[in-house]
Amino acid sequence: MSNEEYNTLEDLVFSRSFRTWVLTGDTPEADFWSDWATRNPGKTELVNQAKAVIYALQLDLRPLPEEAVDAEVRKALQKVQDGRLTPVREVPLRPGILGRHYSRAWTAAAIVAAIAIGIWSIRFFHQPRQEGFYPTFLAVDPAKPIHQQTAPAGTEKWLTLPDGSTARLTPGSKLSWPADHPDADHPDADHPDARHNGRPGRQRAVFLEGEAFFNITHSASLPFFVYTRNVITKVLGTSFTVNTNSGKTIVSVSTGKVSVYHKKDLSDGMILTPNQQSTYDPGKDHLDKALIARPVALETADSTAGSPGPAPVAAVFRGLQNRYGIPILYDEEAVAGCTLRVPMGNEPFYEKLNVVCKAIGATYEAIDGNIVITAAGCK
Amino acid sequence: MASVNLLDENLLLWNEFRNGNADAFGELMRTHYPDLFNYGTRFTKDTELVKDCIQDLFLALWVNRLTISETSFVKYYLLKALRHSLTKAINRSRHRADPHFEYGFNSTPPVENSLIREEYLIDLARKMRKVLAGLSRRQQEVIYLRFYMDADTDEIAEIMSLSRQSVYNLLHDSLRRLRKVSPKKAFWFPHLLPLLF
Repeated sequence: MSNEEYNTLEDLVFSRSFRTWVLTGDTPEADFWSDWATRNPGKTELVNQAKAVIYALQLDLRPLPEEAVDAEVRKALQKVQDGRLTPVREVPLRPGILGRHYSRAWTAAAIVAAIAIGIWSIRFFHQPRQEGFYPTFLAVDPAKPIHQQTAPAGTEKWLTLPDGSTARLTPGSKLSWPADHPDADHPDADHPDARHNGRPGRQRAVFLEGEAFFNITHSASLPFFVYTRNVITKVLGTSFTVNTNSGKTIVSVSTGKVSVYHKKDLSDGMILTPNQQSTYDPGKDHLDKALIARPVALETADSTAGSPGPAPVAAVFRGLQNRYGIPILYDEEAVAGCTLRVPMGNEPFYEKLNVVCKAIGATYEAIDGNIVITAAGCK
Repeated sequence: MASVNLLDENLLLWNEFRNGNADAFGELMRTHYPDLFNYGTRFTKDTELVKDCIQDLFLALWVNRLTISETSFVKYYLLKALRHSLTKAINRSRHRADPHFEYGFNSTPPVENSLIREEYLIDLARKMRKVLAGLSRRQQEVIYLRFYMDADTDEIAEIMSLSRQSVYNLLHDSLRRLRKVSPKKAFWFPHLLPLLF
């Protein structure tokens, strides 16, 4: 303590010991401070300034009485012990993301994200248990009516949601959404209940049974959620398909980015980019990422890709990657000497990939939504 | 140093809580409740809303305890998370993008000004209060977190989602303004005069 220097206003103002001494006068360090003040007559003005700032910093605080805090704690414990609040299954901590060597910022971000997702999941899921998730979703606010549309057998149905997003339902598929789904003109409009019952304000959220292709209008502040029985898909503004017909839930992306979560375990999630899909298999009870069966060239991509002369194979891979938005991973050195002349037409993605690989004696695998090339080199 | 023990105790509690110990969970909540409530009521006078947000915060923490890492900085994560959810709740009911630290030093100071034991400091303290009240809300929040929550620059940056440099600048500018106020010098800074009346 005696070694510490106090030379500036902030040294004193933000010293807890100095502050306690000023405000209560009764602290173990009182002797130190009165002694320090007499030993440093030149700092009298500084001390006075610091004292004045500390007085000025006092706030009219109305702490919650201890009994009220106790009541809040009991309330939380009650809910915890009811056992209704344990949707997260035991997952081993992932050392990469959660290891203690990671920086504070990362840990903080992870915790805040976990809390944000948690709050959101509690608000959605912590409703009295009824039979399954569907009624729960619909019961988010019982006072609010639910809109429901079903595509008749044999025909597709096009829907435009109030926020301007569109959905194309395959025959027999059903889509539901709360009547207060935000509309395009007032996506963030006031929700009178939001403040007092702790419920979220209006959300863009729909529940799907069957299959639908969605084209979502962009709103960074208001994500769009597609719920199915087991999977939650979250997007800001993209187009994608959700299919629950097989008992599995398959989400495949046409444009933009989509986040997919396991409903019961929000830590089981992934981000999908175009031509990738996630499959939830109830048998395995988790999400798998893969490429869709027939990747489609991105609309924005240059359709005249492919060069007239011999091109380094790395450039060909880059061209394919850009055109389909599918990450292609290869060893730069292994393909360094490889060139080839391939006019790229409208052949399907895998056909192009086959031609290229055959030409340079390489093989490919689709792993986790990426293409991994194994090449021996061209010498 | 005493703070090491305190840290260990918090860490112990945190790890117990992560292991699913409900008592530790309750203790954790009780420990941090006063600070969270204090911070929350700087943003809104709706104490029910603050209580709801804190309640949700801890339940979310419980639900996600298995995915949360070991840490000795629990308090600042909680402050950040509360700030996040509270401002979201507040902004939903008004059209505003930025969280507002509404009830900082611009609010009425405590009535018991008698707590100023040095009579000769009353005037100076009043001037300091006027300077504090004139700071931007962000500056007030930075000072508040530094003074009331013992957060350092890194932690403040984390809580408020600002860069370290911005926090440093906000703090530095605030202190510069406070330093200018001294009983002798005040007169030589005519631009401060409006603050005095």
